[in-house]
Amino acid sequence: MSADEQPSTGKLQPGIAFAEGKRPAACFRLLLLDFADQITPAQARDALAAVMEMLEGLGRGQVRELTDQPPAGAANSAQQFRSLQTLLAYGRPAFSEQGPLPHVTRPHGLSSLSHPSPAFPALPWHASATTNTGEAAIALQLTADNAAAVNCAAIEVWKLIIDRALPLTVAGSFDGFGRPDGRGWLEFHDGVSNLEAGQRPAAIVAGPDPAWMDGGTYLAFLRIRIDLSRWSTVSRVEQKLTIGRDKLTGAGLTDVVTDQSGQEQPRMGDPAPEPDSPRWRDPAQTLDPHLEVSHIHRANQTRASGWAPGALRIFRQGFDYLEHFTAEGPELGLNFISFQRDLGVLHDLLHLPGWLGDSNFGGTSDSDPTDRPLLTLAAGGLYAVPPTERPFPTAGLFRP
Amino acid sequence: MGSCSHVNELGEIGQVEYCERVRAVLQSAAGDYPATALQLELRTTPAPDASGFGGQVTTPDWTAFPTRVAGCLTRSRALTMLDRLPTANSIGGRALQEEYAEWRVVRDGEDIVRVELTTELPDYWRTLARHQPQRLLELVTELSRADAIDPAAVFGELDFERTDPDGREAAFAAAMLDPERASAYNDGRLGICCMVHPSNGAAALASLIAAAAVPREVGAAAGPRAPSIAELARDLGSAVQAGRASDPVIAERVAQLAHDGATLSLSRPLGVHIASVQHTRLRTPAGESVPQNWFHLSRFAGGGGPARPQRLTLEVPPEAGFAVSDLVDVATEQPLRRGGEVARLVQLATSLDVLPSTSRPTRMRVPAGAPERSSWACETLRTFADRMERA
Repeated sequence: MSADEQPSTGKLQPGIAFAEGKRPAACFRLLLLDFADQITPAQARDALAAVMEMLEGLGRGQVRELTDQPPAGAANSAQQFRSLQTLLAYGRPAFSEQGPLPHVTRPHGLSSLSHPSPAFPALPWHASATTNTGEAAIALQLTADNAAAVNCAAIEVWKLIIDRALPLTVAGSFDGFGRPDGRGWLEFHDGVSNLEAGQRPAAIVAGPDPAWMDGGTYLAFLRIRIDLSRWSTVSRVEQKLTIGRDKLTGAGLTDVVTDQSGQEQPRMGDPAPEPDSPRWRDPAQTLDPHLEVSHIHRANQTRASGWAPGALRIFRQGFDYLEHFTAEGPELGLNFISFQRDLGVLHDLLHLPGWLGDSNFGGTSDSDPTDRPLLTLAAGGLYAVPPTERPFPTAGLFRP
Repeated sequence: MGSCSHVNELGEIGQVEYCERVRAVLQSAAGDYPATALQLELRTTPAPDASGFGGQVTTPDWTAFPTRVAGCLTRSRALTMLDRLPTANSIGGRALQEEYAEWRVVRDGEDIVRVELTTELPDYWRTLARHQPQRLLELVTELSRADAIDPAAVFGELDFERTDPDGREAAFAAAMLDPERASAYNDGRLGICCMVHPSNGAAALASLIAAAAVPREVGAAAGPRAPSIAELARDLGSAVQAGRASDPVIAERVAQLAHDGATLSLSRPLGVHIASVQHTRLRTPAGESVPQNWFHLSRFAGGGGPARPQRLTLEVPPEAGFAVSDLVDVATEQPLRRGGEVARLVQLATSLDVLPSTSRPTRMRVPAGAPERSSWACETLRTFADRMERA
């Protein structure tokens, strides 16, 4: 595909909910795999082919240990795994000198996240993240409409590795869930300002640079811990100003006025836009300096279309997570998952002052280093998601 | 009332004349689009309207790295081409630096000693040549870090002190602004003073904004909306280039405001400035963060509004003991090898004053649609690049 042709989504792997009206799956699990030391390209190819073949069969209800089960049981298995979708991605370690792809051109921007120094200037690592467990040679994004499908699929991968002594190891695993109400832990609408469906291919689909990624995309995974107890101390007005939306309706705020008592009051326009209208979903670039530093504007300062390369548009599909409760409260957050045509776009977004490079979430620049950040990074990794190919994406690159 | 340009550099007559020059540029641009919402006067912000409501400012921003060139040629080839110095037979990489910023790379062998990037308009320098030739010579000397320069390199063989302003401007333009045969002090070999790419001048910027400021709407199921670059490109013709970082962002922003009924005015001073730099992307060989002040900003345009830098120099202090090319970009894990990699870190912006309106403007209806095939004009760009490489 040349840069001035319309990108086709025909070669995108499954598991990206970019189509009009489609919502991300209800259940998510990211399974990370590493190659064994000294693995040869042929061994890597055979191992990945086995994993992908098994997962494909699983989607048809074929569980290895249950071959020849009675028809009713087979129907139950098929029902459970019917919605399972697997997306195969390659992380930075896959392109190391010791890996099976040292001769393959590593895409621009496919880098390791800095650790322990912050990977992004305004998003520090969580104190518990003593290492980055979000980066591996292989990422399998498993999505489905039920938790059993994604969790059992992950375990089936592990069992296959053990049973066949595949030269792979499970490096990590992260779970998450989608919310049918379209909100996140902060109880604000989340993901509503995603691109209009017609513009998404331009923001998502990678070009032929390098050639093996033509028609694929890039995935960013950031497991972001949210300090909900801190958020709960913020007034509702301040919350709205920080986000840039109304909490109840999700409408983008248009300006801020000072009321008779001297309090700042955000407004939603007069009249407020119709729910689900383009302006409601994706408010225009604000002229109000208070709102210009809000989260939705920092994340998308130009508000331009996906066809404008300088607009730094990405397509997000997030999955919340809840790990457990401690004496201090719940440990929870968001699996930030984004797809973009170029990982440089994500680096720009998270490094640029005025965008998210100088603010942890929203508001003015974070000048006070003692301030407890609302968001911290628990794990993360950047991945190349090559175009579909049989028996699995990039199988042809594993040349002896 | 602020000036149309830098403070105290053009002199009184020069200031007045530069304002007139800018006004003529705006008039010409607006004349091509009678329905434009672009006003002809530059404003110092905020501009109150008749009701006393304060005007507001919008500042669309974009990267200085030519995204279209990279998209059409591949990033690696683009980075090489963008840094090419001109030769007797070939135009240099400045011909591809089309995002309202141009740069040069100063090398010592393979090492990059510094990268200089400018957003200064040639229009301003023309006026400087007319009215402050001595200051101009000082400036060229200073920016080139030369001990002294031969005036012939800037004005040709003309005796600039004995020539009238028209003659000086013509001589300066011939010597310093010709993209194909500029002096070494502005083609990157010995210096870079102001932009020379035909798309990077005041006329191109004004034309883009005037064209996009015609109120338009696209019919959509959810109600009329402002056009995207895909829809604007058909109407705007040569005033806009799809695929660039700058033009689509500026055009869509202006089109949205015009759609909403706003009146627009370019902020004083007219032009493009450096809005921010991603200095956090760079690490020293020891893995330490690069201080922000290694990106030195200068040539602030004031004009009565906020000071806006128009020149950036990335340079490592001598005591550090290493070169710019030893700095590593964490996004690529690679040391800086090309000027374009620095341009990618630089965010540019232009400022417009906005007078919002509560009334609905008369809008031109444009058809909805995705970008047309070849709207980036990659084939032309590739042919041009092939020719450059063969020369």
